Amino acid sequence: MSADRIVDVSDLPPPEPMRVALAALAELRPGERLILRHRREPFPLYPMLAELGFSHRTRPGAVTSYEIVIWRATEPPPEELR
Amino acid sequence: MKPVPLALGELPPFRVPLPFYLTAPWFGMLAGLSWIRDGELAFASRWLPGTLATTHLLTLGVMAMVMVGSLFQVLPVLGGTGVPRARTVGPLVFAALSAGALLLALGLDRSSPALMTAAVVLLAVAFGVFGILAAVSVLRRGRGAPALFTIRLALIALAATVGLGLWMGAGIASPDLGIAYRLSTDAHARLGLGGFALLLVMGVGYQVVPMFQVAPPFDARLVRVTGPVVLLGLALLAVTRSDAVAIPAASGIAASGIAYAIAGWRVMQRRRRRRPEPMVRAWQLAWVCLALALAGGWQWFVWPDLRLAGLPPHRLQMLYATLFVLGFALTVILGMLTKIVPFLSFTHLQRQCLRVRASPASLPTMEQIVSERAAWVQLAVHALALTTAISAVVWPGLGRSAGALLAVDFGVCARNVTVAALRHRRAARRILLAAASAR
Repeated sequence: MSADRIVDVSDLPPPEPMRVALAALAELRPGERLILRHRREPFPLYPMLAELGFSHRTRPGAVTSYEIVIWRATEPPPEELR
Repeated sequence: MKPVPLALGELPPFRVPLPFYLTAPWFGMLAGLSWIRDGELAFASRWLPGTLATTHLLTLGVMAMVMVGSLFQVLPVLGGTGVPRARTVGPLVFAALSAGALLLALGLDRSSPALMTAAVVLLAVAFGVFGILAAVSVLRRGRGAPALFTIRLALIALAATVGLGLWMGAGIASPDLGIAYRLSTDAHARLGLGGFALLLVMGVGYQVVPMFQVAPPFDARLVRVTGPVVLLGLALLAVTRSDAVAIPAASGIAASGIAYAIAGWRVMQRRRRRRPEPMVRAWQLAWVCLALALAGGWQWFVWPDLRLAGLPPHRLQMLYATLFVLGFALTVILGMLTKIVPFLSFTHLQRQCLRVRASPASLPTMEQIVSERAAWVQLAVHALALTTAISAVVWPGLGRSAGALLAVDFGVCARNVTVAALRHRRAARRILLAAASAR
């Protein structure tokens, strides 16, 4: 099972969520996945994720409106998303 | 109302709106110098040549300049489709608008038909080209973001304002035409301020207040109703002088604007980040001024001969106009420039990172482009300039002080935007170097 790194950006004004998410991705270790808690769907982030070599899946969140699960595209998707 | 996601991928380059932002504060400084020159006469009557010139330095040179520049960015983002050929049309509109605004102010100040003729031609080019392309942009997309609906109404008001303005300008430039331009001045001013400026700030506010202030969205019914009521009211006021129509129309405009101001205040109180921020205070100051200006405008329709606090009706009109232009529109514009310039800079730098495959770690923060301290200083100086200008309507002896403070107010803005542009350029160069060294 992959480890989770949870980052909540729901209280941050733009463009801070993007900056925080990119900084967290830079520190992501192999096998880890980032769960981004957000109050809205971060559409501008998606092309950046693909460009940087990450895959993502967006789902309704329990704590915030959206949760974006992000993992390295070279790694298999998290089990619950398969 | 659920704000629609911003389509940042459609943004034109930063160099399209930047000249508008860099130039607008200089028109504000000129307006301040004009008040210093006019002294006690600065707020005496709206018909004085100097006052007409200063009004247009502020409305065309600052307000329209920033608003048109911003629409090059806002339309593609909210509507999903950009202004066609923004890269080539942007510089043309900018050159014609800045030269036209300057010549119009000079032409009005010196009552010069030659300068007025040149100004009318340049402004017709600026607004004609921009208006057609903006219309193509908003019509090409179906519904777009809900805020876009109000912005479309603002563009209709802009077309009417410019049309009347050119008609009046032609009348002043060529007296032989026999155009009774004075009859159109009220409709021109109302459509420009109550139509274009109010509707555009409303529409943009519906989108950016929840976004930047991390606040809940505005009520969807309010967004749907306020814009059409304002525009319908202004259209009725433009075609009739009958009290039976004018008073309900003015009541509808005032009620819509005040409802928007109250709703904005409530949305702001429910924001998730509770710390005081300069833009929060700027919006609140603007909404208070808007409510007072619209209540005053309504009073003028219902009791046109009323004297308030010893001020005759024409002075009260100046007071309400000062509250609207300086207190509402320019408070939002000056505040937004400290927010939108670093935001756009960051967004463009981030796209550059992606394009040249540089590490996002080389991106500056918004704080590094325009600091929060600089935004507080801007707000404090603007509040002082506004208070002094309002006082100068009551005590004309303060006209020169109001002018000096207005010049300082826009000087601070010019400094912030110029420093931001230089920092943006440096950051863009750093990103290119980082990408080159990583290869």
